[in-house]
Amino acid sequence: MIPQFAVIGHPNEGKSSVLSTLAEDDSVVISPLPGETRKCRTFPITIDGRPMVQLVDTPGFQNPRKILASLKKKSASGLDAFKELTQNEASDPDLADDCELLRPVLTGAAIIYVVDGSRPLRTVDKIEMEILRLTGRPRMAVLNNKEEEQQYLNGWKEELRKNFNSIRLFNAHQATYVERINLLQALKSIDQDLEPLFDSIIQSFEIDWQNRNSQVASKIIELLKQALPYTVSSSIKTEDNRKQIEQKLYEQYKKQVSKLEEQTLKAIRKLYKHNIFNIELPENSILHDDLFSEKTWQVLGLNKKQMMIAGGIGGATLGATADIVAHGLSFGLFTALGTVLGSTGALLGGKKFSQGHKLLGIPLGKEEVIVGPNKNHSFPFILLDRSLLYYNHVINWAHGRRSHQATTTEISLQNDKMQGFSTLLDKKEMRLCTEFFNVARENKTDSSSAEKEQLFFHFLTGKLQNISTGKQV
Amino acid sequence: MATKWQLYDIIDLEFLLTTPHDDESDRHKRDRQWYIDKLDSQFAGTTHSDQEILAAFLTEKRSSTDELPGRLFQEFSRLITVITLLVALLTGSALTAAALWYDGSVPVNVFRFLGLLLLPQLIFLFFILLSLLVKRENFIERHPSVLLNLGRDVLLKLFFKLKKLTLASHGMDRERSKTITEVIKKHSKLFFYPVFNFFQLFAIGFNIAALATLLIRIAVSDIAFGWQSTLNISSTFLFRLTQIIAIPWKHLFPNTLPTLDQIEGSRIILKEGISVLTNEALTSWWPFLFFTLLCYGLLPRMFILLYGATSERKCLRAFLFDQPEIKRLLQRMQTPYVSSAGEQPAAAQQGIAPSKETVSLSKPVNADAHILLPEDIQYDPETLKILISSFGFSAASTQRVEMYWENDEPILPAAAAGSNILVLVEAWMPPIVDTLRFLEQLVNHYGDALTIYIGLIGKPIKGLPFTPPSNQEIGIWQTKIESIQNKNLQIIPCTTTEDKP
Ligand SMILES: Nc1nc2c(ncn2[C@@H]2O[C@H](COP(=O)(O)OP(=O)(O)OP(=O)(O)O)[C@@H](O)[C@H]2O)c(=O)[nH]1
Ligand SMILES: [Mg+2]
Repeated sequence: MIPQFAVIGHPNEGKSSVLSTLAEDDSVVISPLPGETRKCRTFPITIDGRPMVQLVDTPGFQNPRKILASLKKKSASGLDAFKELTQNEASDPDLADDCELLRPVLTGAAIIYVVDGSRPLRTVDKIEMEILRLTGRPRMAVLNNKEEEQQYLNGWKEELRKNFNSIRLFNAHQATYVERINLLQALKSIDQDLEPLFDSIIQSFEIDWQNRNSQVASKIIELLKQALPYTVSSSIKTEDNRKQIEQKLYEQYKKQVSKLEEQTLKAIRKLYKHNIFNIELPENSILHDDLFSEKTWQVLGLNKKQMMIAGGIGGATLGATADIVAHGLSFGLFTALGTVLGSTGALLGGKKFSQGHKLLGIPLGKEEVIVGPNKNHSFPFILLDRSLLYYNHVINWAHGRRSHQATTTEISLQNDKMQGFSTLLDKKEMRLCTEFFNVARENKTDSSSAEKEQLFFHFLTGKLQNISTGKQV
Repeated sequence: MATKWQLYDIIDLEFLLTTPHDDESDRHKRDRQWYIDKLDSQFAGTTHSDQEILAAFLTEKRSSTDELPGRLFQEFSRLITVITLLVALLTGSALTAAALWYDGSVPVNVFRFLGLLLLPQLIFLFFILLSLLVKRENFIERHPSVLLNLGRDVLLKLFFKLKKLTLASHGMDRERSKTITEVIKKHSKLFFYPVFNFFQLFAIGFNIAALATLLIRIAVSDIAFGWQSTLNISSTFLFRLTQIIAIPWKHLFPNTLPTLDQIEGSRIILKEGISVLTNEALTSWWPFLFFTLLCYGLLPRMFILLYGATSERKCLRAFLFDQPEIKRLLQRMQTPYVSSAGEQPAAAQQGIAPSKETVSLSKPVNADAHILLPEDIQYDPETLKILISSFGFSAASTQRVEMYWENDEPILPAAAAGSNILVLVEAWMPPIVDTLRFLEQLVNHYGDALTIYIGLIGKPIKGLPFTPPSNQEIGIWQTKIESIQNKNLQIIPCTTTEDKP
């Protein structure tokens, strides 16, 4: 028999939300209308397809007073009284929800009692706790505070302590990966026999999380390896339409690279099982601006001091782009490029090909204009920043949350107008990044390049792990 | 178990891992399941190396899927091996036959023999050894000789040509054959050692043929060897030279060297003719030539081939386990597949979302009412008065209730005609069936003529004992009351906040 944990409570306290977040399942129906959940829904935690424990979402209590009153009249005690009750009252439509929610308990489920600790404690709550106490099942309480209000918390804790083996705060809208693990840890304490089981579940969850982080790292690396060497080119037949073609190429370049980025972000979202609801970015997030917008280039990427250092590290790549770097930040690199483009040709490190090559006096082929690869030092850091920012939003977007409200858990980076993670890099890390970026830009495949990629991968997974455990990066 | 990885393994793996794939989590589930089913039972709890896992994976896939493209490549390299060996044998024996050409008048010049068969080989050998000696990290990979590059290109071209011919007979689809082309293009450095080894194979075949031809010619015909030179070489010098050359074998086979007398006796001086040469001296050379060819032609190549083959293995292995796709495969297999999603599909959303619009509700003005006060609502009399007046009522009488009909019924007074009933409820507690039934019973109790007002109180916030309920709360109550379809129940929200000093 697989151990079961029934999530039980008053209607609308956030039972379904807690489960949705804990189980990373955004298919759970959550609604402000109480009595939304009418049937139990099982959430098996499986490892390699084998169910280890089951969490059960249940309807809320509709008739706590009636249930308690009739329990007290029963001669039997413990679960037997409940069995008798649910058998006798099976035909009463009013008690349908109550019978349904008690069903898993009668078959041996332990109890996770969910209350909203931001509202005052009421008599019905005490009655519900009394009912749960009478089941004699192992039980813990979860305080899911729907609002910031703190003043009722102690009253709740005091009352809960009388009836529950353990009490935990778990916010269905803000819980992070670490808090999910902590809640699982706490489940151990309601039933000691399950300790080894939960240890292995938690271990698997942790491996799984690391696994997903390393997949994110691979995806970001993949993005950099595709976006950095990316070029678009076209041949010019006459000099007259050169400007138009260059402008068109530049637009095409931006579109394609943005698309690559978008695919990566989408894949990241999917990895963290946000399948149905699109996560909403915070209102002031820089991710609302697109990759090549002026604002993005102002607030993400390296700061000026780092830019100088990067120039030193980058060495050879500096040459052509030195002036862009100097002007880029203050004027917004790409708008500047957009206007300069016409006069100077493809500026994004572009080259003119086969210009003037002639065979026996006949011009060989047409002139080719190439836009890309983008050699700007900031570019890879901006891509990196945006991916990490997005990752930060995704992993902090609890599955039980359906719309945006300001939360406090997301790491906010707001030092002197720069918003990205890149500004926090030290010289050593910048070197490591720059070396990989050079490899990626040149599509190198030799063994020392592979080593650099490996170093960058480790650096990146470390960063992701820090972000996901809430540590400053 | 050190698996001997080969090029065609890489092609197969590339094909298996890059074919249009499904969702990452599906792949994880599938690969992990495969690992548990096939390997966990096979090795029963023992841990296995990445090598073992990958080898087992490949073996299983080869037997369970349609033909993989590696076979085609493998057949091609077998074919090339056979052709190389044949050509080597042919050239070896032809060249040796030419070098041994002897019409009975002038003996075969040992210098010509060695110059034709050994010298070019020695020159190549010298360059190979040189490049191996100065080899720093990856020297060969980075500076492969022109010849090797050329060889590689020729072989690959040949392969593409042949591929077109054989594709149909193998029934291989384009997808598969494309993989081969892609691997070749993407990882062309992998083909360095295989080509290098073909060269060694050729040299080995060549030398074997040369040695065999020499022996056969010696056996079936009478060949005289002599030496001559335009340079003023003395017999003693040549004798010392042979002694040095024979260092590798002379202690094992001391009789294979010509003696000083024999060397002297086999010196060809054209104007003196062949008759002065002693027969014994003329036949004394061949064992020496045989061993020279063996020790300086055949054996070094065998060692180099051995080196090339091991290097190839090492190179392939290093390459294989450095591939992101393969790393990911191994990771998928070795990490548990965790799921915690809900079992049955989620039920469809049922209730209509509560309206967010403000409900406009008519409000009685200062009517007298009998107030039913649930036990949870605790206000001092002053506050209570303000609260009740905010609903448009004044309290004629007040009574505590449990909101549980069975206990409340006995204590409820029968209604005085014309008087109103106001039940205060906290709007932020959702209306449950218990509450709704209580309200219905109230209507029953007081009869159809009376309206029962439900006064909704908002949450106490920031020290205020009560606030107006939120629109959402009003909406929820509205919806729930409507659901029991009792026209005698009427909700009114409290409007003003209490503003006590
Ligand atoms: N702000 C905030 N709202 C929450 C939180 N948890 C739940 N809610 C909201 O509370 C409402 C009810 O949530 P549900 O998860 O459906 O509650 P439930 O206990 O399953 O309700 P029933 O199934 O009706 O018994 C929804 O509108 C949620 O958005 C929370 O942690 N913070
Ligand atoms: Mg629910």
